[in-house]
Amino acid sequence: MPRLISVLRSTRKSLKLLLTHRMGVVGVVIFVILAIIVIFGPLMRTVDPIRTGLPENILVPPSAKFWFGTDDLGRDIWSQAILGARIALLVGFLAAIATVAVGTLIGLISGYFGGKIDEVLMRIVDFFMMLPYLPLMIVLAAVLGPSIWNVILVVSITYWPFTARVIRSQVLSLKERAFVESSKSVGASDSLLIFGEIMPNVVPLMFAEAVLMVTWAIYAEAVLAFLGLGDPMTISWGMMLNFAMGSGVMTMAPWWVIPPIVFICATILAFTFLGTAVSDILKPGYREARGL
Amino acid sequence: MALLEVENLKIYYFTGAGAVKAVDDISFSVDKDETLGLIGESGCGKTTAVFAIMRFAAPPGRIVGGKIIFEGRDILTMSEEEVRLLRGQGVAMVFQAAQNALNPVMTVGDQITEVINQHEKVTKEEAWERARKQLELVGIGGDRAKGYPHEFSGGMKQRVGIAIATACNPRLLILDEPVTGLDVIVQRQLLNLVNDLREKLRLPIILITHDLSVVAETCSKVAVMYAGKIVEQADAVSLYKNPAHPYSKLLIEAYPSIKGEKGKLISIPGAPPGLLNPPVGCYFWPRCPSAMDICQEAEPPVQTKDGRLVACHLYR
Repeated sequence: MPRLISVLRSTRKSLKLLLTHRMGVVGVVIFVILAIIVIFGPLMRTVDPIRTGLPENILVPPSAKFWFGTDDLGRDIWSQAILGARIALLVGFLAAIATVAVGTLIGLISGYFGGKIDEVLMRIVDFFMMLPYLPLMIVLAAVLGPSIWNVILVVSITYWPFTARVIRSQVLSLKERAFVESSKSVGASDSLLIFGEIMPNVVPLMFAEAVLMVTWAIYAEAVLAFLGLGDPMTISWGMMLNFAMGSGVMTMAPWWVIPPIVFICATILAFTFLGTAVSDILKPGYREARGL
Repeated sequence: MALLEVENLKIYYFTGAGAVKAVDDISFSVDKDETLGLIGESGCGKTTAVFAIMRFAAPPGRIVGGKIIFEGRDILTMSEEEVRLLRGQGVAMVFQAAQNALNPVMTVGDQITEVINQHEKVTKEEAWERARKQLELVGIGGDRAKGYPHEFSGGMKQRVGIAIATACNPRLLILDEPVTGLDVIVQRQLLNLVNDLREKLRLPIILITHDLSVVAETCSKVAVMYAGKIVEQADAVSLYKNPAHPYSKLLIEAYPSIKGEKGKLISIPGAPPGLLNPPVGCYFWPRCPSAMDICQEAEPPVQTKDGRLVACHLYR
């Protein structure tokens, strides 16, 4: 518990630092807007996004009633985009958590024990890394069936090796540090050394990895949905583009295509900025250079 | 039987160029109420030797022979789990450069309670209470338990290191260069603390240092190491008054005395031999002022002379 508090305390400190970084500020602003959209989305919806509209509402350009216009079934684009934000962040965060959790665990074990265990785990990691991930995702998504949970699973399976590699390399250096040996000299067990001594030192790295994974997961979800491997009952940004493609009237209704594209770009940009800002802040000397 | 008996310990580093005999056939013992000082130049195997007592041997180093009997049991034949429990409760060690020996992202209190929790079933409150007591024992306020290592000075970090090492009441404490890198005032405070602890906790200590004055005032027994071997072992007073081995003699002369006459400081010419290809015979003869022909031919055996152990041909 005290450890958790100390982690939270340092998180708050890094959040303050984040606001001193220009890219960090942009990232935080976009993220906050997205968060508001996700939390208050249901209140912001003007029309039920799933219900098909009356014939006169089909393909209406942006107007006071339909802010972003409607699609070929008379559904409100703005309301769909809001729903999409929810799915994007859900997929992004869950996939990032799963990826970082598995990757960190494997990286810690592999780096700490070394030898045969390391060899075996790293060959498994190599195997997953060399799989061409887009075809694999398409195949897995096709086999497992269209569901948002399968998308999360697929993204986690393909991305965890990258986190494992990064964490492992950090652990290789950390485990040689004097405090690990000195902890060993007073009888610390392997599990305490791994989770009690080494892991707190990779927490910043885990955060940076998680931020990166969020962007990849959102991107992957959009790709899969666009290719028609998502769940048509779950409206996401990728799915909106898929609908637009399939309708055959995409060129006639630019208002249908632009919102999901802008949302996808803005979200990925926000998290990329956050990732860059976080890794900048973690570089030694950042604070000193700004007198913080 | 002594508390700790090291017999014919040999630790070699197996490098691409051959075996480096970092510790070569050394024997010593530490009794209850005894403080053993281990002195010698850098790289003579002091740290390697005491690491073996905790059964630490970093590859390519390997303990190739000998026995380390602690309270009647050979540490070298214990199981991993037995060794783990021994560390901290039986033998504990404070590392050289305690500054690096503390985890930078954990409070010192957490680092002390962690050790206690590894060995004993205690509640969280009890563990924290003991952590605070440990800090007070080494002269740091118990309220500093919530501080992070970077909030402490170098001397305080060294004290925290001692607090961690003694948290589970070990029966033997090893201090590896406890005062190196600290200024003289902090050195003094720390040595007073070590003396205090020895009396309060009745804790036998092995102290590694290359500072002879530290040995003089804390140790009851001294072992002088040279190139992986112990060349002389004696009680501290007689070693200082009347060193037997030429190396011990030179080592003491090379150290300035505050009280005595302002004599010229002598340095020992040359450098310790490379242990990959050590010289034949006595390892010290190329630098020894009293070297004889036999020194270049045969390794001097360890012999008893006036109650001390010396390995030198002068005393045959």
